[in-house]
Amino acid sequence: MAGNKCVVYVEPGKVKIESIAYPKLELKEQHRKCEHGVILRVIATNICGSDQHMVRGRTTAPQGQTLGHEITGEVIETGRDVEFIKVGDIVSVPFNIACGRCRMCKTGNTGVCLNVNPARPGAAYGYVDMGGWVGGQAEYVMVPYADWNLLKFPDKAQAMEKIKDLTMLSDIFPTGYHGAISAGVTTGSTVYVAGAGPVGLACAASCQLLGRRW
Amino acid sequence: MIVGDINPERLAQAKSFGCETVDLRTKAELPDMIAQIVGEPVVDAAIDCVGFEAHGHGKGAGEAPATVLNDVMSITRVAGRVGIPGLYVTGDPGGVDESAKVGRLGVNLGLGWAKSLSFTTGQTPVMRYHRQLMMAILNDKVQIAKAVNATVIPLDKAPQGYQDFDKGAAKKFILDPHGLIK
Ligand SMILES: [Zn+2]
Ligand SMILES: [Zn+2]
Repeated sequence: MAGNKCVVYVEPGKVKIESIAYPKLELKEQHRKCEHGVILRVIATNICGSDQHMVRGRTTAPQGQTLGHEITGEVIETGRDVEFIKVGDIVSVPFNIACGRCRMCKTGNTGVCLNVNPARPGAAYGYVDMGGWVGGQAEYVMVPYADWNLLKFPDKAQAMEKIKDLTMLSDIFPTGYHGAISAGVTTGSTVYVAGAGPVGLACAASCQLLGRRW
Repeated sequence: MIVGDINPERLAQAKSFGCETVDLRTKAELPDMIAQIVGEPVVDAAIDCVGFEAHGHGKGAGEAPATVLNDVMSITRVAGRVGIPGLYVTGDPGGVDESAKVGRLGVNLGLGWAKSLSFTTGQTPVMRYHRQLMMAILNDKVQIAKAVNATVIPLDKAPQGYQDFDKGAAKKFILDPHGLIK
């Protein structure tokens, strides 16, 4: 079986590349297969400000915590129950893991899905307290509920051409946009964005899309 | 829009695609700096893109986790809405005091209430937006990679990427595990 290099947390201020298990279509904790999942060859996976909280020692992340929740990749294996996503598709993975079946998913609140984290609503790849899913700052990663979670890019060549933009769809672009939308930014608005890190900048770009005045 | 930060490199990045900026290291009060740009000390909408590791204002100010929330409340127009994509937590071993260690912050809710403000918190439900934003990208309506200064590095260089990002590099690091990105 192929290996799988992944970024893991070591101690405050330190991460390293470690060889971890090649992903399997299975749910370890539940002791069952994950026939609704796919394996991705990771094409682009971003370092996020929220990863920094873990790496600065500002969370209870244990040593060996795998990192990475901003994932874009090519599907290389599909589970038996995956109907619409196909091997070869290039896809964006929302950082929130969601089942598509619970009352929160059904109302569009996929950030607080009830079925993907035994400890609390909401889950993510490679993040402390977020359900124990393996991180995607890796060569390969497993994505559950693939038909529901994945966004397929319409054209592979075009996707690779714009991959540096499209990779921002897994987290920071929607996150910045959601900030703007939830603050009511619209045509002619005056807007203040606190923070010029990647999410702040993505929010500012979103405000431009939404037609703000300042 | 106006973008505020304490990192000059990141403010320059914001300027590069047409943002006005305010440098929060200066002594000036935020409402005054806003007024200089828009002509009044308030804005229609404000967004906290910083979260719980926020710093106070002025030179050498230490960590003050409620700073940004109180800032945005002070400059949002009455009955306005505040977006809070910045991350806040229920446990923070490095918190500045016992309250901060369990996520209890000195938020000036009295002011927020008096101004009839609304707040939106939580993880972004990505699926609500990603398809529309993909279409904006594919049709050249937005240059998001340029805005965040997307910078591609190999997976093996991740430790260096983490270090540079932590020092405040005005870059968004993309790891490229298989060398597939041109
Ligand atoms: Zn992220
Ligand atoms: Zn769900």
